[in-house]
Amino acid sequence: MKRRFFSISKIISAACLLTICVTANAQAPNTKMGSPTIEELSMTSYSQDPEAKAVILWEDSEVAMERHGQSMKIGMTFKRRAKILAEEGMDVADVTIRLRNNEGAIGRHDELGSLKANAFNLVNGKIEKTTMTNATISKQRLTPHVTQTHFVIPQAKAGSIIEYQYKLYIDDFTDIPTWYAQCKYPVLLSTFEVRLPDWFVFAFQQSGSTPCQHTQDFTNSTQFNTVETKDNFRWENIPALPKDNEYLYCPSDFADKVTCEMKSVNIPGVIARTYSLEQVDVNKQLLDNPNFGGRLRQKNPLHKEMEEAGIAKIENVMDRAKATIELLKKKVRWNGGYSLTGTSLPKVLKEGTGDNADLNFLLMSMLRDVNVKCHPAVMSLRSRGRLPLTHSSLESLNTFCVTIFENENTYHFYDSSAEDGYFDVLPSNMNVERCIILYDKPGDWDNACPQKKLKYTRMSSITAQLSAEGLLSGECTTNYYNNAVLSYRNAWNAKNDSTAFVASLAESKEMTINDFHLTGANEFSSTLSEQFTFEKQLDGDDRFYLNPLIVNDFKTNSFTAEKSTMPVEFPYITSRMYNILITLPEGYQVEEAIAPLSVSLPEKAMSAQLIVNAREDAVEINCRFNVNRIFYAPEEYEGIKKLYNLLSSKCNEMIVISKK
Amino acid sequence: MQRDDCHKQEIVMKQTISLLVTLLFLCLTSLAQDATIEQYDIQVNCSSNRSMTIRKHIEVTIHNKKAEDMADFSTTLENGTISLSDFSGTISDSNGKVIKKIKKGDLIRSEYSSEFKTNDYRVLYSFTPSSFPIHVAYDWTETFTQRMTNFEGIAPLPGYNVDVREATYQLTVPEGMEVLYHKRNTDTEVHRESQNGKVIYTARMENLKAITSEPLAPRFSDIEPSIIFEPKEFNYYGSTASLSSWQSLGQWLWQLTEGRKAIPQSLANKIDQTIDRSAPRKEQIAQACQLLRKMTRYISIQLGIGGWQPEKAEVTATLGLGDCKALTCLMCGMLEHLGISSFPTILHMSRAHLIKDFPSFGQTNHMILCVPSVDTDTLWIECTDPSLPIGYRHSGLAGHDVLLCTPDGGKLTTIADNTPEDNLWYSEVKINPNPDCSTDICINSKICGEQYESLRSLSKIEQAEQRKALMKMYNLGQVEQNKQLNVHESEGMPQLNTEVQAHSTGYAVPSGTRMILPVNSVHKSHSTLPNVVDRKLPVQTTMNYEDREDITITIPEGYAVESMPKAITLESAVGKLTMTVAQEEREVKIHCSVQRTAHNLPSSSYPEVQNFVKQIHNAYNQKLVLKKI
Repeated sequence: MKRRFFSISKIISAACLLTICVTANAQAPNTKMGSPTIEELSMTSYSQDPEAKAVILWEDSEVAMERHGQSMKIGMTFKRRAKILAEEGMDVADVTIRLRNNEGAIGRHDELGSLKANAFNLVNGKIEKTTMTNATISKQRLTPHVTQTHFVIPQAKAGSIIEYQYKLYIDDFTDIPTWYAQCKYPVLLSTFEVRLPDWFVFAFQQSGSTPCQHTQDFTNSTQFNTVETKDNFRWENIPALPKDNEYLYCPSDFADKVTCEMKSVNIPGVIARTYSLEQVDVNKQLLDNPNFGGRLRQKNPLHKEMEEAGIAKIENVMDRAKATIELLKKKVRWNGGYSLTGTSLPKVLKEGTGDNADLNFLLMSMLRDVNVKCHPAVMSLRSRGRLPLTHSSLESLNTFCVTIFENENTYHFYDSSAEDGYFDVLPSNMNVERCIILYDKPGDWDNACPQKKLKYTRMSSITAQLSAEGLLSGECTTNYYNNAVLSYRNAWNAKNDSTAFVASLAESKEMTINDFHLTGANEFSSTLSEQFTFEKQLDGDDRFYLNPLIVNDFKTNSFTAEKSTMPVEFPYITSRMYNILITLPEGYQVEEAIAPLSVSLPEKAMSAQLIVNAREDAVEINCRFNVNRIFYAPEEYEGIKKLYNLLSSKCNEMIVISKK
Repeated sequence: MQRDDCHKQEIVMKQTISLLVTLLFLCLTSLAQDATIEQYDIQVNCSSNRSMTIRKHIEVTIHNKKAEDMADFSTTLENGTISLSDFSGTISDSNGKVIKKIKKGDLIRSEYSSEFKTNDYRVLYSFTPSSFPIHVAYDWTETFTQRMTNFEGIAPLPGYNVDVREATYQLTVPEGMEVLYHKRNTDTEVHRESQNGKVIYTARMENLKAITSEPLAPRFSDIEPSIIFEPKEFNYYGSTASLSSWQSLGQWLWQLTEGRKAIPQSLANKIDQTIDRSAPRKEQIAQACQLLRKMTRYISIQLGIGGWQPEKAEVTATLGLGDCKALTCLMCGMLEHLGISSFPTILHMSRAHLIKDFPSFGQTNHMILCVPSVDTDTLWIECTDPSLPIGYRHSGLAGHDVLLCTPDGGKLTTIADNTPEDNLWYSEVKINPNPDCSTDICINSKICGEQYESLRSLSKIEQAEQRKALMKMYNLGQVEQNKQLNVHESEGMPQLNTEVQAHSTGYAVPSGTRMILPVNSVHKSHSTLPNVVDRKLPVQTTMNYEDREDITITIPEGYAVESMPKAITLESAVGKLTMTVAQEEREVKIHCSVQRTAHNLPSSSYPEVQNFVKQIHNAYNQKLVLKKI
C-alpha cells in the first residue's frame, strides 16, 4: 500500500513537473533581468530537448553607434539569462570575453564595462540571489593586441538561473561582431538589435535554419541629429547546435546567425567612404592597401641570386617557376600562420620566416622577375567560413594563394603553406569552393574553384604469394599523386623517425613490414612512391581466410551516426585504386571468392567497386573508390553511410582458399 | 731510421684513420640527434633567503626540423616576484653568419594561463628556421624576490634525441645558508668551496648522450640526469620553515591551514539538517561529499601565498568555488563540524613516488583529504571531484606516495594501489547471428576502477553521443537498430555499467556460403608494440587491470562450425592471457581474460612483453567461421 502511494505521488509530482515545463515553454520568455520566476527555478528539463544540460532562456545584444569625444564607437550591450539543468551545463556560468586591445596608446582599444552577474537559487522555497564580485573576475593580457576577461558566477549549480550582462565598446565603427543566435545549448529566445544613424549603411546576412523575424524601423536620433535605422532580429526555440559536425570545416557556416558588414559611411563634413559592396570595390581596397597591393609592387629582393642561378634563362615557364620555388624554400620557411596582408619583403627574407602571405608575396616578386605571370587568388579558409553569396566582402577574406600561369589560358595554384606540396597541391583548408583571382586592376578579376582542380589520387599494386603454411608474403607499391602526396609527406614528417613511421604503418595494416622504400619524400614533385615487402599469417589450418584488400583499408566505416542534420565535406576529390594479385600455393584453389560490389551515389557523386577474380593458381582483386564531389547535403548522409557500409562489409569479407 | 720512419708513417696513418673514423662516428652520432646543446650554463646567485638572480646561457645547434621548437625562447615569470632583468639572443646559420639578433623588446608577454587566477606570465620569442643546421644562443637573467623555496638545479637534457656537449652549474649562497641537493641518474660531483663570506657549489656535466624515445619507457623526468638544489630554510612570501624533513614541510603546510577551516553558520545548519549523525562514519562522510558536490565547483586560483595556503572555508562556501586546497580545507571544516578528524594531504598526480630522503616543493602538485580509521581503513577524499565514489582511489592517487599534513608535522605514506580485480572490465556477450547474416548482439559490461574512471563521462552525455561513443568503443559492425542502450554508474561504487542490445548488419560477414564472426566484440584495440633494436630504457607498465569476457555465439540454423578460434594460455612477466573455446550443441562459448600488472622491468624484457602483447592482439583478432550445411 505504501509502495503504491509512493508511486502515485511520484506520478503526481512528475505530472506537476511536466506542467511546469510545458508552462515555462508556453509562456512568453522572461526577458526581465534580475527577476527569475519560481517556474524557471523549478524547471528540471527542457521539453523540446530533454537531454539538454542547460538552456539559454534569453540572449540579447543591442548594438548602437555612440559618440566618444571626437570619435565614434560601437556600444554593444549583451545580456544573457540561462538555466543550468545539470552539472554538465555549468559552463554557462564560466565566461571568457576576448578584446582587441593594444598595449600603449596606438592601435585599437576595445573596452568592457558594466559587467554584472548573478546566480539565483531556490532555497527552502525562496529565491536566493548571489551577486558576482571581483573575487571571481580575472583579467589577462594574452598578447600585445588581445586581452581577456574571464569570470565565474559564484553559487551557480545544477538548478540555478544565471544572468550576466556587460557592455562592450568597440573601437572600430566598421566592426559590428557577428551575432551567433545558436550555440551548444538550446535557446528559447534570441534578440539582436542594431541602431545606427543613417550615415552608416551595413549589409546584414542571415544564415541558419531557424526562422528569423527581421524588422526595420526609422526614428529621429537626438544624439546625432539625423534619422536612425533600427534593425531587429528575433529567433525563438533555437535547437542546440548539432554535435555531429565532425565532417565540417566550419560548422558555424550553418548556424543561426547574422553577420554585419559595413557598406558605406557618410558623415556630413567628416567622412564619406564606400566599403565592400561589389567585388571591384573589394579589389580596389586590396590593391590600394600598402600591405597587399603595395607588397605586389615590391621588387624582388633575391634578384641577384636568381640571376646568378640562371633561372631567367630556363625556357619552360613551369620549370622556371619550379626553380624559383626551390630557391625560395632555401631562403624562407612558413611559420604556420595564414594572413591576407604581408610585411616588407626584405624583412621577411631577413627573418627567414613568415606566414603564407609573406612568403607568397616574396614568391610573386621573384616569379615576375623571371617573367612568370602570377596573381594572388584571395579566399577565406574553409575553417574560417565561406565567402558570402549575396555580396562581396573584404572582411570575409583572410588569405590568398598564388596562381601561376603556364600560358594565357592555363594556371596552377601554389601556396607557401604547403611546404611539401607542388603546383595544384594545397592544404585541404585552402581547397575552397570559390576564390577570386585578382589581376592588376580592380575591375580585372576572375572567380576560380580550387575544388574542381585539386585532386587526391593513390594507386596501390600488390603482388603476393601464399604458402601452404598460410604465410602471405609479397610486395606493395603505392603511388601517390598531387594532394595525396602532401597528405603522405605531412604524415611522414609528423613521425619522429622512419622506424616509428613504419611501425605505425605495420600496426595499421596488421602485417610485418620488412624492406621499406620511399621515393620522392623530400622532392618538390607531385608524385611519391611507397614500396615495402610484407608478411602476414592468415587464419586457418588446412583452409585459409583472406581479406580482399590485404592492407586493411576501408575496413571500418566512420559514418556511424544514425542520421546527420549537418552537411558532410570531404577534403579533396579523391580517387583510390587497388590492383592485387595473389599466387596460391601448389595444390590449392579458391574455394569461395567474393561477390562483386558496385555501388554509387546519384550522379556518381561517390562510387565504390570491388571485383575478385579467382584463377586456377591465383586470385586477382581490383578495387576502386572515388569521391567526385566535396560537399554533400544532410539528406545525402544516409547514402554516404550506406556506401561506406557496403564497402567496409565487402572489405571484411573473406576469400576462402583450400586444398584442391 | 727508415724503419722508424715507416713505423711513424704507419702510426700517423693509423692515427689519421682512427681520427677519421672517430670524426665519422661523431658526425653520424651527431646526425642521429635532432639537436645538440653545445653549452648550458646556470649561475644562481643568492644574496639572502628572499632574493636571488639566475643567469642562464644556452647554445644549441639544431640539426633538423624535428627540433625546431628549440629555436624558440620561453620562460615563466611572476608579477612582483620573478622578473627578467636582461636578455639577448642570437641566431646564426651553419656558416656562423648571424641571421637574427633578439633583444628584450622583441619578446612577447602573455598572461595566458590554464589557471583561473595567477600572477604568472610568460615571455616568449618564436623563430621558424628556414634551413638547418642553425645555431641558437640565448642569455638571460631572472631575478627572484619575496620567495625562495628551491634553487634552479641542473637538468640540461630538454627531451629525447638531444645531446649535450657541456653543462656547468654554479650556486653562490651567503655563508651560513645551508644548501641541500639531490642527484638523479647521475654521479656528477658537486664541489663546495668558501670564498669571501660566500659558499659556492659547482657541478659540471659533459658529453651527455641523447636518449631515444622507446615504447613503454619511464617518464623522461625519471631517466634524465639532474641535480636538484634547495635551501634548507625556505621562505615563501615571508613565511619560513625548514626543508630538513618531510615532517617539517608537512608541519608548515598544516600551520597554513590553521584558522581557515571554520565553516559558515548557514553551512553548519545545513549539515545538521541533512546529515544523520547516528549513521556510520563512512556514511556521514559520503553525505558530506554529496553536500560539497552540490555546493561547490573547482576553479584554480594561485595567487601569492595562496599557491600553498588554502582559501578560508567560509569564503569557499560563500562563493561555491575553489581550488584543490580550498575545497579540501572546506571539506576538512565540514568533517570537523561532524566531529571527524581529517588531514590535508599533498601528492603528485602523475608522478607516483616522492624522493623519501629529499623533501622539496616541486614534487607535489595536488591536495586531497585523508580521513584515517574509517571502518578500519583510511579514506582518501578527492575534494576537487566529490562526484567520485567515496573511498575510490583514482589513477592520480592509487599507488602514489603522499604527505599527510598533521599537527605533529608531515607524515609520508603510500596509498594502496588498485589491483587488477579493482580495475576489472567484465563483459557478458551474446551474439546471435541470423541466417541472413544480420546479428543480434547483446553486451553487458561492468567497467570498474581506473577503467571506469576514463569512461565515466559516458554516463553524463546525451544518448546520441553515448551511442556514437559505444559504436567506437565496441566492435558491433553497422548497427541498424539500437534496441537497448543504457549507461549508468553504480551508486557509490567506481563502476560503470553499459548495456547494449543492437541489431547489426556488419558484424557477421557473409562470404559466399560462409559466415565469419569476430570472436571479441568488446576489446578491438589491444594494439601491438613496434620492434625496437637495441632497447636501452627499462620497460614500465603502469596500470593493473583485467579484461574478462564470457562470450556466447549461437550457431544459426543451417550453419555448422568450419573453423574455431584457438584456445590459448600464456603467462609473462607483465600478465596473463587465457582464452578457452568450447562448442556446446548450437553454441560456441568463449572465455577470454587478459590480466596486466604494473612493473618496472629491465630493457632486456622488452621482446617478451612485445610478444605477450602480440599474442593478446592475435587472440582477440581471431574469427569463428561458420559454413552453410
